[in-house]
Amino acid sequence: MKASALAGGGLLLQFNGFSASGTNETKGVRDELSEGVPVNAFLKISPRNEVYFRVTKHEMGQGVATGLAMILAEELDVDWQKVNLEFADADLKTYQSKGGHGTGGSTTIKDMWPILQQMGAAARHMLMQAAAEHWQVELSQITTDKGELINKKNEARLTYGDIADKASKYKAPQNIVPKASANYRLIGKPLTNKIIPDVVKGTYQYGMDIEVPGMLYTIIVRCPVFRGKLKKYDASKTMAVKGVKKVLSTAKIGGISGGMPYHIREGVAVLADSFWAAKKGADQLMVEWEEGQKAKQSIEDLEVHMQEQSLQESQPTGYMGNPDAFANVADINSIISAEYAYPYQLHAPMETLNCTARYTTNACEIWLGTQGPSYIAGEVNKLLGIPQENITIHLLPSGGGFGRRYYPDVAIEAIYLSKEAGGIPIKLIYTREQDFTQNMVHPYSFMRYQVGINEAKQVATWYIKEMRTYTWGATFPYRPELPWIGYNIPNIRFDFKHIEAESLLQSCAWRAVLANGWAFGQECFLDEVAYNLKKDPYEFRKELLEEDKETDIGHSNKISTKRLRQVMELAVSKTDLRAPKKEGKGKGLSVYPYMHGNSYCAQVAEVTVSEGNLSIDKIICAVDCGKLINPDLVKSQIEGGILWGLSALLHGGVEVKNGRVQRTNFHQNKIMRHAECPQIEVYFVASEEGPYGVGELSPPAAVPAVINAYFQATGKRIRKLPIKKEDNL
Amino acid sequence: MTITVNGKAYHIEADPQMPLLWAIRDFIKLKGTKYGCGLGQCGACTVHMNGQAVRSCTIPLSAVGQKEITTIEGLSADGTHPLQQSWQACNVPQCGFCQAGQIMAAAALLKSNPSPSEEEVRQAMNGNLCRCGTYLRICKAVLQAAQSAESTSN
Repeated sequence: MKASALAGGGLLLQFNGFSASGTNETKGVRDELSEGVPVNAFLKISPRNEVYFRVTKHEMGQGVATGLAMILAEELDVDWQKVNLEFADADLKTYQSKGGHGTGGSTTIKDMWPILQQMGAAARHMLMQAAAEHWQVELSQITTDKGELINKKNEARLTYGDIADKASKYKAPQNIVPKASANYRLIGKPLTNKIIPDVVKGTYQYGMDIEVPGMLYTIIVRCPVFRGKLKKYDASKTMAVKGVKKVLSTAKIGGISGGMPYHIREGVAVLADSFWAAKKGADQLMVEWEEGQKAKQSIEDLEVHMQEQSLQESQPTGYMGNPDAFANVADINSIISAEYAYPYQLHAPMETLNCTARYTTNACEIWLGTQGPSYIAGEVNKLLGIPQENITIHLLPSGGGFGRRYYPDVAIEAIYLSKEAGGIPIKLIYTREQDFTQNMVHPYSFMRYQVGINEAKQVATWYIKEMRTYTWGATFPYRPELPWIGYNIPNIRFDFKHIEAESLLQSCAWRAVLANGWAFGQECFLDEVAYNLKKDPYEFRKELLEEDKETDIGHSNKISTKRLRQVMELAVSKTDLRAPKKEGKGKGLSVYPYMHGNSYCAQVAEVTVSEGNLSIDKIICAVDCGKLINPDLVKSQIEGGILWGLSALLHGGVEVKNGRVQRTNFHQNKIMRHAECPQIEVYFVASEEGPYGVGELSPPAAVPAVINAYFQATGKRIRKLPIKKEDNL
Repeated sequence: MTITVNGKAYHIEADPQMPLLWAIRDFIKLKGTKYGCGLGQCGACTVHMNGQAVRSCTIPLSAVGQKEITTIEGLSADGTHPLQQSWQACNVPQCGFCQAGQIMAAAALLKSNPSPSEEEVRQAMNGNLCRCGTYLRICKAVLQAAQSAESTSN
């Protein structure tokens, strides 16, 4: 793909067309695509006036392909029915300055908003310029109407498609003022997700569905113990399985690397002419591992270690207020403390990890759903020596990313194996058992909370000490980030310790990342403190959020008491927290922001506990995510996020015994099912700000809302996930 | 051996123990039916066998015989089955990966019980997992499809 940038970061006008590989479009559409004229880096318009929006971000179920297309289409002024999604190849250079391909942190809509507004508006302007020249009138005489250009003098009309070619020759204007929101025709409407017509016909193409001529299906038998080594293997029985073609070691690429660490387990790959043959061959493989120290450890060992570490003296990594406040006990009347543990969690995307790869001399081509194509290119270059410009990445939607698909390990494995196999294309697939037992997980987080209460019964100091198996921002010396606490507490201290060497599994990003543990600990502990002080948990929060304040917690977005208060008030207004309590029933409140996406939510959970059975009856969720691009798709994310959090609450955690994950498939790693699903109500704070991110907003607050409700119903505090059956009795 | 999928006969040379799922995906090249677990735990691979919803990942090829297999691609000629329409109207799918299985399970339910209650839908669909959490919308869409089919037949 050729692209040249105009001076000053303008639109791209020379464009070789989108790649035709690996998308969900039908063949007919493909043929037509090649006729389309690229008006800019995100947009092609065909002579039939079909509009093709290039999806540069990873569509993994969060609905961004549709949301982003709506932003562009709004400014472009086109008929929404004529807008098509195009899942094209990565083009790291071109898009680096246009939001990139990297997808995560609930930032896609927020970050792409100004870029796509400009792209849409500039393209419309160029089309109008071309029409003005065509009709030989002033630009001011031209207007547009849903994909058509109108000459105001004589009402003559042209379609965008008629003149797209000419329009593409104009220099892209800059800084066009976007539409006033009062004039929106698409934004704010609950439009249907554009991927659905293909999904319901079974024609929407995922990485798993890609076929490359001559490819071999590949399964890697990886070490069952984290950081174990491959000792030796005997493939004689495997090679005897009909269809098995090759057996190769992946020991050379094993280990931990990356700026955002990931881990490749050493293993032995079985390459065969069908998935079934590869699986049968893998089952027949005889492998000996040097399992190492971790084979002697279980999850309880890690838990004891973390608890011990949390009692060691430590230094603050983040701070707000007076450093002496914690030592100066004279002002403190009483101290309340508690320990919370948010365990490992499996991602369990419905589409297991996979990558199809073809290596050719000093170059490669891969097909996969990925949140981080540039991370792949960088790591493949570093580890396998292939120049970045020779790495072609065909971007496909995925059956769930949840942070796991940010990491490049599966692509590295696939490319390495294609190379070792002499350039045979390979399709590497994780079985579900491998997805659960040989994978990376949500970090284990052990948190010790302590508050100092002064004589006025106010929180004078708030101290959190966290032991966690993954770092992110906490130890960056230039960004001493605090957990996302927005309450107006004068002195806050955060001591973080990275527990890396002792971890039994490699940790990584998992939908809502650190907010999961932080919200769980903070919002449950706050509830404890309120009860301890004989205050109503809602009134107590209100007190702590009374004053309007924007606090710098070390994050690029400041945390706002006003926005926290507004979502809380909205959620609380939809229920009666003061209604007389019924036997076995409970209501619980929690409030938590998602700072990467700059959004806020509050949730009220209603539960019933009877005869040892916990039923989550209803979740009321109030959201402030700025303006809504597509309210129904936002609502969908909020609903799904709540169930994501509650799956972890009801069924989460990862048992590890003798270094081995004990959950092998969905019968052991349960996720929420239809019959367990609560009713969900979602309400929005009206806002002209943003738009902000929503993908990871609702999981964190769902968990403490239910646990606080559970306390009300049973009088029992849950300080470690998941809720066990015996907790209910 | 020969199996019939969506009304078409296919000759397949493969291990008779190979699950039907892989015959559909890797040999017949119909990719709408998904692999999710291989153990009949998640329902992503749900297809119809003589009109009944079955987990194609647990049925060996040898057990298929003359039975008629229908996949998501064969549910309707042009994507206009009431469920395919209500799935759009309710904005059901997020990532979409489990949805072919959900729709096939729901289609079998509506065949045996054309106007199920909400509770019946929840129970009948309980074996189909969705990691994105679209359960509430699935339930709504099944009830909506049942209603629209009813009003059409009236």
